[in-house]
Amino acid sequence: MATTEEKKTLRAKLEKYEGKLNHMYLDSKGYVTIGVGHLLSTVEEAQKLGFKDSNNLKASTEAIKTDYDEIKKQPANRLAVFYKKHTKLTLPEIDINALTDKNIASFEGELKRIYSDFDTYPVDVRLALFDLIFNLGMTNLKNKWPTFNTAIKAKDWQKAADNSSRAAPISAERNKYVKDLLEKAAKAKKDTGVAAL
Amino acid sequence: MTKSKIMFFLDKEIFRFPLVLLISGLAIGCSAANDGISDREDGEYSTPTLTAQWTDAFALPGLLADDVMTVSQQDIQTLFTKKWYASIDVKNTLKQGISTLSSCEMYFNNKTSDLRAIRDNEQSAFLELTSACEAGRLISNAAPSSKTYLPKQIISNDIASQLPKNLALVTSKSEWKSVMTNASKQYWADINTIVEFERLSDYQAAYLSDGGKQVLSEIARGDFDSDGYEDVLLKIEDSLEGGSYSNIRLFGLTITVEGKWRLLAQY
Repeated sequence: MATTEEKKTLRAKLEKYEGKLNHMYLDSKGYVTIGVGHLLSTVEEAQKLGFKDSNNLKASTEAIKTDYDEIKKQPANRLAVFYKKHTKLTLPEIDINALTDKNIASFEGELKRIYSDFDTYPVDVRLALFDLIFNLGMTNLKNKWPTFNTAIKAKDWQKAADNSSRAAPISAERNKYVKDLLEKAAKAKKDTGVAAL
Repeated sequence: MTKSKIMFFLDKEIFRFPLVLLISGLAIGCSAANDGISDREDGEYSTPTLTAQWTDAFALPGLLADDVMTVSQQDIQTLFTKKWYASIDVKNTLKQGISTLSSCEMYFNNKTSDLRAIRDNEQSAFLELTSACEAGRLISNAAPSSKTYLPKQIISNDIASQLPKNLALVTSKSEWKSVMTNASKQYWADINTIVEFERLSDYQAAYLSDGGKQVLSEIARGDFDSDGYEDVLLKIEDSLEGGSYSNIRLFGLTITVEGKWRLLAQY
């Protein structure tokens, strides 16, 4: 299980790359979303969350439904500022962080399904894989990255680093973040090997 | 063309023909629209010429702050100076540092090969804007075409087995290189096995493959490379099941005399 420190690092990176919004919005696919890419597939799911109104009072289920329905009828793939004007409620940071932690736990379960010995991987490798699965989803990462996955399963971190880049429009900076993590693990492994000789 | 036939086009909104084209079609009895997409048979035709036509999938009017009406190619050119629904901070522009863009004109003036939104989570919305601007530029500059091999309906459940592999959804750069150098893989469907097809309209459909979803839209037809032959502008929106990745790509394609799809450019 991801440690508290790992979760903190992960949350910071995910917020940087995925954004963190305290109001409902539509993601690029048109799904109602909140926080750091947390999907709200039904209005009931949204109504379970601790939304606050403009007076910082607990929002009613009706008010949450109004925001949800208003967002759902908007066009997808707009800037956050576009959705903001269609909402009245916000979700406190503590609730957003809890949702992100829930997503991290879910992705960890999926990573263990792809890589049976995921728990034994160095922290840097685990962080790199978390970033990939959050962005790619389990099916794509599992089935469409054969060269990378062969390297990961062989614990050849350098080869994994060399094959870790995502296609456009992923930024060079985000690709470098993942590659650097894997290269750091490769170097650590190499240094340990040399030390053992 | 009869009035009822025109109303059929308008009601169905299959294509938003330039209004002037329809009116002149009524006046002369044999218009460009009369030989247009909805009427003509598949295969080559030679005269009269067709001006550019665009569909409701051309997104630029809906991305502007104010309501606009576009009925001619000239109208589209006027959209470039109009404000987007919101401004966006970008980097890697022709100028040093950060710029704030709020119209297609500003985008065209700042465009570089690695121009992108400052905030990663705004890149997808930025691509929506830039792809619409690029489509607008191509439509407004399109020349009339005198010949075509394009079918009446491009969006179909088997088009993935005919379109080039460049349209495939491949998220790994290494795997993409491997795909592009593999001569035995030629078509989109050679890379992404389409397991489900969902028609969204006459000019838009979703193609589902293993963990991926691609929405293909016919944006416009016209002669985009000034060779006299009609080309088509296709937009493809890539997304992944359970992942935040998304991309928007714009392709210019045509069909050769041999009946094969040929990629003209990716914009």
